[in-house]
Amino acid sequence: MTDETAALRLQVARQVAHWRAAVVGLQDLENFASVSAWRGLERYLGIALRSHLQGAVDRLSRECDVLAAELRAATTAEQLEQLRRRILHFRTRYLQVETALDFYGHAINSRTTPRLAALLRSCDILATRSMEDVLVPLRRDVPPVLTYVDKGLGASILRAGLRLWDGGSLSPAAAIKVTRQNLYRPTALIHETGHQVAHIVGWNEELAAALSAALAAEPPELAATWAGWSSEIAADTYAFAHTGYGSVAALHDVVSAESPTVLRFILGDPHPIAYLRVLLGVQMCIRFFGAGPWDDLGRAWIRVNPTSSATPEVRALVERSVPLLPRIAEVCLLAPMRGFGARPLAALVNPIRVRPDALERLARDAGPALFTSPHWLRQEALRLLALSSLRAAIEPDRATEVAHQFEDWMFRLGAAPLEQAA
Amino acid sequence: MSSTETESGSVATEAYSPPQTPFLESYDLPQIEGPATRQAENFVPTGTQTPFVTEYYGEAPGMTAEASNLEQLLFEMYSSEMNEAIAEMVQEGAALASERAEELGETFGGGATSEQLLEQWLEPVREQAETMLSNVAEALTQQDVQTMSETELEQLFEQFEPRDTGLAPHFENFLGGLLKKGLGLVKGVVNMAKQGIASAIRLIPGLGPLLNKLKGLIKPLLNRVLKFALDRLPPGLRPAGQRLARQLLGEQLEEAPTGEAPATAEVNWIQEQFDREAAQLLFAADEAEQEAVIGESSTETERADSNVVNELQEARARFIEEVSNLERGQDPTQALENFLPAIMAVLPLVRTGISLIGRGNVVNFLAKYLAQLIQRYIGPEAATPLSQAIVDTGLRMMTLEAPTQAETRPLAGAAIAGTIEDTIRRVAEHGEAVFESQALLEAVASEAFQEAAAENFPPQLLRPEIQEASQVQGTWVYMPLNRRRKYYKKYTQIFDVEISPQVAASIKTFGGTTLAAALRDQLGVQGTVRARMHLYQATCGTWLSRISKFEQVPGLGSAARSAWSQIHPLTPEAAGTLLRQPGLGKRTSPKFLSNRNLVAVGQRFYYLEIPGVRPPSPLPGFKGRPRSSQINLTLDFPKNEYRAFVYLSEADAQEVAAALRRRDVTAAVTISRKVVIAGVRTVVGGRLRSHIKIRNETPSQEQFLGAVLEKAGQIVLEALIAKLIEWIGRAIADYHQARADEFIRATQDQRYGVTIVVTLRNPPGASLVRRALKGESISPLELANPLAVFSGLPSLSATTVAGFRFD
Repeated sequence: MTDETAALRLQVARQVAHWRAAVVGLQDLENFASVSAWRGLERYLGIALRSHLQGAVDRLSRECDVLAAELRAATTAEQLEQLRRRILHFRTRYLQVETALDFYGHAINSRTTPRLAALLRSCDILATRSMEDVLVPLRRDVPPVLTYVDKGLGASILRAGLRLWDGGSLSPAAAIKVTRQNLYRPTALIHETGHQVAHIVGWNEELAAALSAALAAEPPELAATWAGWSSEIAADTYAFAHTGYGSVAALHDVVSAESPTVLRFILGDPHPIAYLRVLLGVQMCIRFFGAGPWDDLGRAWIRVNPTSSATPEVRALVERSVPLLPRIAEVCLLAPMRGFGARPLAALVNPIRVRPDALERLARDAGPALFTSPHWLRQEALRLLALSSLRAAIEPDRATEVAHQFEDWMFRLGAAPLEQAA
Repeated sequence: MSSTETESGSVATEAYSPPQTPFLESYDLPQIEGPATRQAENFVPTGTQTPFVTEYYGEAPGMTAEASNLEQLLFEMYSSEMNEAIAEMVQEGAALASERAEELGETFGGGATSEQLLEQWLEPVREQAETMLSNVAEALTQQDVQTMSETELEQLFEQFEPRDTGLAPHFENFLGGLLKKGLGLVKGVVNMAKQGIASAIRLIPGLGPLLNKLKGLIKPLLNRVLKFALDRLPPGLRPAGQRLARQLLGEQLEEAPTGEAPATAEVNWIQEQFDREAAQLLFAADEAEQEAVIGESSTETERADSNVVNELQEARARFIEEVSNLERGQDPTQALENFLPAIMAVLPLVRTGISLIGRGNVVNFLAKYLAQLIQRYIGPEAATPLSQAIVDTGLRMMTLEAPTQAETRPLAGAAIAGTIEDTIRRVAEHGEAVFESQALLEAVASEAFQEAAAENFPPQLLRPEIQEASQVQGTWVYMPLNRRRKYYKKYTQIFDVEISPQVAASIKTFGGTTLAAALRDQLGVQGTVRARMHLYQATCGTWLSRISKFEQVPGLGSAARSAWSQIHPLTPEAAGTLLRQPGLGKRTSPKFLSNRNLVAVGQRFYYLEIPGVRPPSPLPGFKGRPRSSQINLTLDFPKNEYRAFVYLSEADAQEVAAALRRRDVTAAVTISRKVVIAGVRTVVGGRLRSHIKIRNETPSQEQFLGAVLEKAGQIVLEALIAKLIEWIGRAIADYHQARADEFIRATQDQRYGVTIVVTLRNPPGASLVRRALKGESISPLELANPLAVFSGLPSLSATTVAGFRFD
């Protein structure tokens, strides 16, 4: 071997050794989330996640073993050069796997205390139930859910079944972020599961087509704009169907801003103009619940966000769209969809069940046991969420009491799992 | 078995022709498709009642006054909750012992290390139990017990309820049960004193110190739990029917009658032993006699000690090894001769039934006979393809991994071992007469072997007409695969099923509850259920907790009650309904369907793995455990009173409360009445266990309510059922109407469910029922018009308590 080849070999060998040691560092998943945080997961979610993440690391480790074997076999400069380029590719793979581990580790680690772990387990349950309502009758599998808490204004989801950063694996669970400020009113959780359901049954595309058809008499660009917002509209609709007015009030609070922002239109943004988004929610309430506190919300919303704050094009879009909102609300909730088995969403998740008087009747009939009995907690968890968020929306003077009550029943619902995750 | 004495004086058995084989003639082991799946059809099968056996207390003819007093005390002390708590400890202990057995390097015998492990495991609860009894005893000493009302006594004991002990729930439940037993004992003595019974009156002043003495019985009680967990009690060990009478006559503990073999001893034995000893301690003449009772308590347990279950485990493992190492053409008779005695030793009938005939003769005959039948699978040329055929029936899907070489190799030997064990068990079920004729024994063995082979061999090797199921390729394998000790069998095919609410409502599970109620009350699941259905079979030493512990499937993998309470009996009806394969189900005596603490060898079960559904965790601050709605009855003939304990599950209780809040009494009564109708029919119709207590004069033989009433005729039984439904239903309707608030308040307590206690005083027809229980003849006039006998109304009253109650 020439001196040059030997020198090259030394550099390549050092890099192989470095990355082998780095992969070893990924093996222990407790480097990414603490033991107690892992224990905060429901047992089989924990097992599924560990198995998936461990599998990704094991694959990476095998790839590294191949590099080491190739190093042993390499004798010429050309072979070493090829190996050097493969190491660069491996480095990218390592970073991808590390990103995936980091993401899930961060999510799991947000279960920092037993109480927070219980609340997030409760969120896992609520999210799962909201998907079961639609997917089980359709005989579709319900993906596991991992809820985590993080900063910010809005919730988000990494859907289950998406190809992850490591390039090879699919996300084993839907990872849903809820914000700290909304942890005690997590209707946004259901918005996110709406995304997951929409992805599974193909609702976004169908809703886009349905909206286009319903708005066929309008200018094409208006219909196209609304069709382009179908994914976020679907998710908002899903949250409304499950949690009623509470989700609309929560949405209002999240998207509230200065008028120009509320009336801002961003090309390509799947989110509707905030102004229209909230008013669409109000229309859904009117359509299914009649008159109620949403009327005041709508009036106040319009008052504080004059359309004169918008650009002329957006103003025209908004003023043309507002009269169409009742029709759009009906399409979202009452138009039959192939993805729902030729049924409308309302046939699977009836918004009438979360009408304020229905929720109050539930509270009256169940009595104080509504918040303590395992029967009510299991059977009516989503309606409890709707009730709590309704009360938070219309009784701000009782906000502290409502928040305490909410935390209490959420804690019971997410009580410590029977078996700790390994 | 008959034999002929030859001229030379030796004994020769009769010649016999080669046995018929259950196997297909071809040696080929064809490739098979992967396991087929099918969906359950929605149809409602004919229902089955699940009868139970009574717990019986009373006086035998000629019983002394002292014995009668003891029996009365036993009645007061008996607690079904204590049985449950003990059973839970045994299940946990059994799973713990089996999990650690091989880690600790033990082959059989539950050696010293396992025993130490369990002693350490039990030590904290022993300490707490003894401390609790001391504290209660001290408190009692400072009270004038005789002047205290029942409520005051209950309040006194309530102070000592175990809270925040740091112990596992099953230990806390045990402590709670022990405290309740102490309360029952004190109440019993006080009641007897109030009746003027002198021996009870004498006890009152020293009741506190006497209760303290009960501490001496705790260690022996826990020792029994330990022996259960270590499989050191023979299957079939059960409580004596008339414990006191037999004690006076010096009789030994009874063993199980003929028929199915229990997989384990009966857990009820532990409580009943303790109760008897406690009562004897109380009525002991002096301190020396008290010490004798405590000493005898330990001796009694040692007398029952038996290693037959562990020896069977070891014998089976050895047999599998021996058979696996044989070459083609080698004779397996010797291996069988080593194995068969261990199998027979756990079968109560075989232990006693053939002792006179000659065990050796039977073993020799059966060993030779069975050797012929299994000969074709001896040697690697046959064993290897057999093992592979078993793998191909679905083992990979079952374990979700390719089985290792170490797991695959013994499969053939295990299939043979299972066939042999099941053959002998089936032979034994025919009773002792089968051993008295060689021809009869051979015929029975032949049939038994065919049935056993149908379970243990892959279907493609069997003649079609003996296969258990059609178009299903599974077979039963010993589990766990990778362990020397085997605790159950599993079917290698897992079925995808869809269960509608109507189908779930038509299937009965343990205790007569419907599958629908169990799914709702245990898992909070309602509506159509899609699940993967796993099938299991009990072997000698099976506790359901061992299945739930070793099965690493979602929802199991634990010895907790919440896990094994999801395992349901696979009767032919359940198998037919859920799988359209009734042959995969097993018909079993009602006593093995009563609860999950005693199952029969060969009995089958299923577990529904429902995606995303897990047993909910115990709610913080909630007492008790989730149960399905049920009825328990106490027939107290001396008081001329029936008491019905109508337990409403948490779901039913909350729905009734909601209806009452809406002022919809009709809806409330409808829900309660459904529970009453289903419950009374289940409890009263047939042999009863656990759900009914009777205080009466008893005949000399243990009798079961159902069996006795059957003597009086089905008409009388139906009349009693109808009247109980009417009276209890009426009491509850009136109660919901008049005292809804009391019921609602009880449902707000943080306990699972509520119990409506309905008292029926002076019930018409009680005299007829009482005479029937005594075995006296019933007049034709009464039989001709039973409704007239039961006509009229008892005095009715009802109240509600939070949680489960039955006393």
